Amino acid sequence: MTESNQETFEEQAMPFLDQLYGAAMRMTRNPTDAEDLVQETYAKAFASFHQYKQGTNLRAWMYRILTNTFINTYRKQQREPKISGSENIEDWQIHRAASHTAEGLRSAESEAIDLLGDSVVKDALAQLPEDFRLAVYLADVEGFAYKEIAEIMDTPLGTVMSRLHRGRGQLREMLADHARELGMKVEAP
Amino acid sequence: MSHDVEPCHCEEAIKNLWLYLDSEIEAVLVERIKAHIQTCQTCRQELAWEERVRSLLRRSCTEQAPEELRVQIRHRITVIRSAESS
Repeated sequence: MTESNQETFEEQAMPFLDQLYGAAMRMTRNPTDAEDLVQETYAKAFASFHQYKQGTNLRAWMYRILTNTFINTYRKQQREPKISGSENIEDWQIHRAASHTAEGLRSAESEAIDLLGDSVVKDALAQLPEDFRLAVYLADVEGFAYKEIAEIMDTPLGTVMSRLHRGRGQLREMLADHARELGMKVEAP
Repeated sequence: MSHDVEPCHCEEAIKNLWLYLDSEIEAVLVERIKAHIQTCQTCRQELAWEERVRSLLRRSCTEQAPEELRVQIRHRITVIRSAESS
């Protein structure tokens, strides 16, 4: 391994540090583990940099290593979050969305939601089951395509879409509840 | 402007809204959804809500890695490189 190889790697990979740290924070839910996870990720990425094909999606490649490292190292130690997926949540979410908009609540929720603090949002995400949380994070925060998410999480496309749909449903439910409470407090004379 | 008395029952639109916003929907449906949103206040509100949620998530989840981490990583890479060369 040469110095120029290291330079190339640092030049290309270091710009992703903040993002990867952000993702690691959502996975591990604490800064110490997040730092360790990111460090391991960069170590592994550098060690296998010869396997990376220049010009292809380096960001997705790095996220794949991050996710893999998380699963192998930290996942077993994680406390299970409170919420578990339920069977027919998709239909229920659609029905709820339809009835919600019928009651005209949506615009009130939209107004209040910007007022939610960062910690409220992060806590809500943290309550999602891991697989849902990761899919939602990769799609909504990082903007990865479904196909990229499937590669990163090493699962079929259909599984990604299912996790995404259910995770988003649960998360938006929590955020809507918070927004509504906040809206009520704000409105109260 | 007519007032939306009836809730929008276009479950197809709501179901497809996420696909539409994710740019994962077939081109043929994009136009249909766009056209529908223009005429439906309910779906417009749903769309506005969804866009705000995503914006909120991005805002809240932005993190900055500690400077020491950057230093540690650089050091670790150097160690790996030295080990490989020896």
